[in-house]
Amino acid sequence: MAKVITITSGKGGVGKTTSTANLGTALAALGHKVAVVDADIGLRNLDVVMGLENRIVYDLVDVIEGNCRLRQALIKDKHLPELYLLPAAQTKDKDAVTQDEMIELVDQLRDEFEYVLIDCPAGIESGFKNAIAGADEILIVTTPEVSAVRDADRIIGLCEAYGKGQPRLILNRYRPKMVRNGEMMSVDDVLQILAIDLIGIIPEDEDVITSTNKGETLALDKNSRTGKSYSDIARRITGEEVPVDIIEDNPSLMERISNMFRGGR
Amino acid sequence: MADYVAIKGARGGIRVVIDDACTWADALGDLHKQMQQGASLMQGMRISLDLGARQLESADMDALRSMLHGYNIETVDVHAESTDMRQIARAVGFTARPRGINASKEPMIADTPRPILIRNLRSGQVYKHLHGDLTLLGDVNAGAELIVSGSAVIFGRVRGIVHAGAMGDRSAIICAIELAATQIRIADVRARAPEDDTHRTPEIACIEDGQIIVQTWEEYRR
Repeated sequence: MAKVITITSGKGGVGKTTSTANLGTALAALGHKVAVVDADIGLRNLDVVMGLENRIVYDLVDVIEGNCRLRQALIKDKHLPELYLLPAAQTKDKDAVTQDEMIELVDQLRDEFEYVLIDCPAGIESGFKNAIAGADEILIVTTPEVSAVRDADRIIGLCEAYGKGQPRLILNRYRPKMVRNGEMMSVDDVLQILAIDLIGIIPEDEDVITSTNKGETLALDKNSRTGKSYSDIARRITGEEVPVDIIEDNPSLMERISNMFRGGR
Repeated sequence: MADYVAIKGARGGIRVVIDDACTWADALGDLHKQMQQGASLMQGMRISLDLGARQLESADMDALRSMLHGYNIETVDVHAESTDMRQIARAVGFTARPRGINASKEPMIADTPRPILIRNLRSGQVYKHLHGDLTLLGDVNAGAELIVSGSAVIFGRVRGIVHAGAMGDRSAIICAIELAATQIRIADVRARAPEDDTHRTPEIACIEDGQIIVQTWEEYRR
């Protein structure tokens, strides 16, 4: 039975689309049949991040309006034969679909795929409700910033109110050095506020910018720390027990000396 | 005989809601009865059949379809909560639709005088308890509000807003394991957290000389 997972955050720009693309890729690389769905109608991005923009003929709204069959709108990934994208429409807005229509669409995808990942738009309005309506599980992406965590908290509350159960958390753009210097919220700080299960931590990584601009995902890059973090999350999604390692980098010599003076570790 | 089947006018058609707690036999019996009376009026209209959380076998679903067919009712959307049920409904030839997620009902109002609440209040959530004192086992996160007519004892962290004595009781107190609230209110008096609040000990807020004061547990006992 297929599992439908919505990736959401409340706040924009924290890494929903990047996470959806990478988790979809990582799950497909594990040998699963995966569909990633861009529910951000009117502001589509997932196709760009996956480098599939020039292959779009039909989109999600076309499927819902019956202009094409679902299979015609699904775009096969460049690298993985078991990974498909259902792109959002760019010329419509969120009101082009209803919750019922989204759930029906998702139900159709369940027949064909093992995992369906839905990239949710930012905000808590109809686009968000549409994106979570058909989900079995919800993943919340946040960065260790007060504003992002605040929005994540709001979203968790809404997921509970909508009977979606407790989401799991992806902590994105984590910078161990800033945390060590007390300039960024630590994993514990975030978990203390949100009080939900952590499914993975993604380090801050400039390669994400380069790869998204090129339309490639890091999840396939064996040498990428970020890619490995996404692969680990994918394995946890499949139910495998993979310990969450708190990301550490090695403190520089100067840092160690100044820590000695501060009486720290 | 109790009504297990409710028939309502809905936008663009008729909505038939079948109780999902009774036995299927009772529900079917009632549905037969209602159909004998009203099926002729429903012909040609779009019927939506709400099964709620009920789980049916494929054979039961098929029998349901034949029964409606017997009353000349053809265009039926089945609304069901579970995905399995929608798949089964489609398999026997119904069109199936999900039941959408419900709009959140905010603020949450305590419908019980039970003086203990175990949960976290998250950003955007408002909890109103107007039955006197309340003990909350959990956090009041930033952006959340707890409103209590009596005193509020919070066994957790307060980073949002707490309003005690909300019906005007100035003798109400607020106490918390960690009182880092953005704002506290007692009756009609408000206080804002000091900018440099680094207290991480249990504290108690009450009104003294018309102003809210916050003390540690030791100070309060003296």
